Amino acid sequence: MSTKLTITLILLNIITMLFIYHNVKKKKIILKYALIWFVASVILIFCALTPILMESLANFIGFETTSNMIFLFVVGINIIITFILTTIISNQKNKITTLIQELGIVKEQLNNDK
Amino acid sequence: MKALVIIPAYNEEENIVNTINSLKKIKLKGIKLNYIVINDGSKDKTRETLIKNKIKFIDLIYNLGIGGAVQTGYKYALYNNYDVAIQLDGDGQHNPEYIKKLIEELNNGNDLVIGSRFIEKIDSFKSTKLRRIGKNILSFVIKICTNKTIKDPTSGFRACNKKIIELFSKNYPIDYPEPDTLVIVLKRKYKVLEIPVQMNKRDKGKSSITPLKSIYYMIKVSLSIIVTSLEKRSE
Repeated sequence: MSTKLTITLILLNIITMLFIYHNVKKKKIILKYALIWFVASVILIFCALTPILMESLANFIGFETTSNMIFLFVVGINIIITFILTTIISNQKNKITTLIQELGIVKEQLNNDK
Repeated sequence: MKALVIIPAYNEEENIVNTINSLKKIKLKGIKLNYIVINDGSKDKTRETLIKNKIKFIDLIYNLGIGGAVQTGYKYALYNNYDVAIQLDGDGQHNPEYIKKLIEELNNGNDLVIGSRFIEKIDSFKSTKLRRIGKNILSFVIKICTNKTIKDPTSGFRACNKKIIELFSKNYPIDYPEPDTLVIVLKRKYKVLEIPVQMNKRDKGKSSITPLKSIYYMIKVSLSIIVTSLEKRSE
């Protein structure tokens, strides 16, 4: 892995972390959901800081270049985050459905009492 | 005995009054028959029509789809302590005269009774052939999953007792719920019975299922049935 890629990776991840931190501070993102992004950034920074370890790992698994392995990492992390988002959306959809139903019933009851 | 007729309505301004009027003619001995219309976020004047005609209804602020609407009715039935719930479409396809028969069969020890379209003479839809093929596939999938034959798994004309009301208010699929709910009920070893009913042609308005949608529908429902049948009973 070239030094250039190492620096790029670290820089990009620091920018990402700052961006996430900024959004958490402005209460645009709930901390719970920001954590997965922080964890992802930390993993990638670790990868960038340990090029020798990464190289031997890539050799061991059978990647032609270390950067290929890093890219696969990034894709993998993205898939995991997307999946987590899907579960969060499904959960929220269920809750919204229940809210709409209960609100409808309460409104009907209120009309009855009038 | 208290019975509730649940009538889901989405954009049914033209049909809903007739449906309620024909329902009001039904008198049953020893049974207090109430109804509740679920206005599923209709975009037309359904809401205004309901208010104008003093029809009892629950107003959903957003459209939930048929499953979410019907489940609201089951929750309402549970909260208000009804013994029986009957599902009836708001578009006038279901003839309320059969309600008596449905309830009779519940009293004979069945948990869920389905009004089934064995007679299709007056059931002349554009996509009748496609529908029949679809229905057969669904019947087949349900047969494999539960070992029970249901001839009309998509019928939305059904009555159930208190146990099923409780089950449905907790557990009800949102999108195309009819076949799926059958699996939920059959898997729990409740007794399901089909009785023949005649369906009316839709008075006005279009059916919501188009040919292209029905292919997506078939795949989704089949998958959903299989998943439901594999679910372990958690209760």
